[in-house]
Amino acid sequence: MNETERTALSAFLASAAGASRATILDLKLLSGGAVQENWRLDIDFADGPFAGAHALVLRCDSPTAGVAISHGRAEEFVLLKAVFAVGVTVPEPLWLCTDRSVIGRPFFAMRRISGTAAGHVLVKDDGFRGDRVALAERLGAELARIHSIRPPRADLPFLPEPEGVPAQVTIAAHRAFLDRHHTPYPALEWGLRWLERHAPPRGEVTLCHRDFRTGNYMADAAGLTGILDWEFAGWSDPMEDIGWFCARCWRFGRNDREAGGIGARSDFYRGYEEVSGRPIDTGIIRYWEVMAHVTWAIVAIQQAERHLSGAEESLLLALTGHIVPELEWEILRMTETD
Amino acid sequence: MRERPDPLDLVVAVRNVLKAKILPAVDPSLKMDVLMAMNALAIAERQISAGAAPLEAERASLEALLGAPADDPVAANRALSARLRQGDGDPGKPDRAALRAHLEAVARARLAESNPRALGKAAG
Repeated sequence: MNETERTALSAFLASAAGASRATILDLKLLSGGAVQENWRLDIDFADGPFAGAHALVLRCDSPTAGVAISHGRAEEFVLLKAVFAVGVTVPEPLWLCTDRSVIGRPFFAMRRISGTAAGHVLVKDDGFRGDRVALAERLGAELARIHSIRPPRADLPFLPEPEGVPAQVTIAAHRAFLDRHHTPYPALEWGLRWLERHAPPRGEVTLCHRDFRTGNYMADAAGLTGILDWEFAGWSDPMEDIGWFCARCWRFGRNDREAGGIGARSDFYRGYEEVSGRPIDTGIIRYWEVMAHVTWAIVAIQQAERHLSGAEESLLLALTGHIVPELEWEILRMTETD
Repeated sequence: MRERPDPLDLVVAVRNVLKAKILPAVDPSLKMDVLMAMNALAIAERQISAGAAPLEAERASLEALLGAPADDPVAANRALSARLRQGDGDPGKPDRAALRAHLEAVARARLAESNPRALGKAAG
């Protein structure tokens, strides 16, 4: 950011924080992507309710992002507000700026959290994420709080209306993708047919994170510090999130710990049930674990396509395509008998 | 004649250099990139070694299942997909066992190239 932008930024934040003056102590680009940018910001407010130094992160739409996602940060901010309000552990969202005259694009400020999100680190047997049983239980409790948000919500109009049976809606979307993709995937068709035959009827529809798994939360030695990556959130069957979290493909090699590679299912379920006040129908979780494998396979194909199409040369994206056969294998194994 | 070493030899040689010399010496921030590069070369190595045999086996199996030539793998797999989607692989259907056997054989061959370690893991 240039001097003009920094000045405009500190003026905006001072006004938002009710301070007469804000001093930027440090401002560094953390990561830049095609859709968004994260800036590490240390700022000092001279007075007002936020007087003193604060460790923040600015989330901005990428400078090259088109008009199509111009509401990206604004929507994410509202979503974070909604889940923060019901006690979900997320970086506290503070101020949203949609005025492009400040730094040229929309952004919001949130508190900075510490720890690591790296799945292969979190599943290791060291003190990195605190006590495993406590973490699994805590994550169950967090998920139940997310699921306490029900439609309709006037503050979340950008989430598509929850119409139809959630499982069937997802199956139809996956089939539509496979029909327009250049390569057919018969093993995934097998899985989708199984999912269609076993689809649970529409029950209660809630806010779902839809990517709630090890790798998408941050933890430090004391435990959970925040749930991240809300871009797929939407209305769906809450059991979808539980299946996604427990699915074998998200255990980072620790298959013995069926809850996200970090804990026992019983720990995770207990935390969920204590907050939701309702027992989990464990019979239906297998269904959503099959769905998790099929959905992750479709997403992996889409990620690999970004590399294959030449849109974004990336070894990571290229290798993501080679995860698909393992997911197919697991789908066939899980759907063998019925 | 083509000059040797052939592609398989070259890929193996590069992977060995990465493993023996580059990986131990590289800055920790680049370690993940080197590991990804080694993994990509290992996949290439297995695909080159396997040659056309898995594709030929898939074609023969598709022809038996579909009762038609399967020279175009995309078209044949689309036809197979359509049959699975309409329920030909459902429990009680006459072709269920044959369809299932085909899918397992193809999945095993694909996994043997992409990530053979998972074959052992999935069995356990």
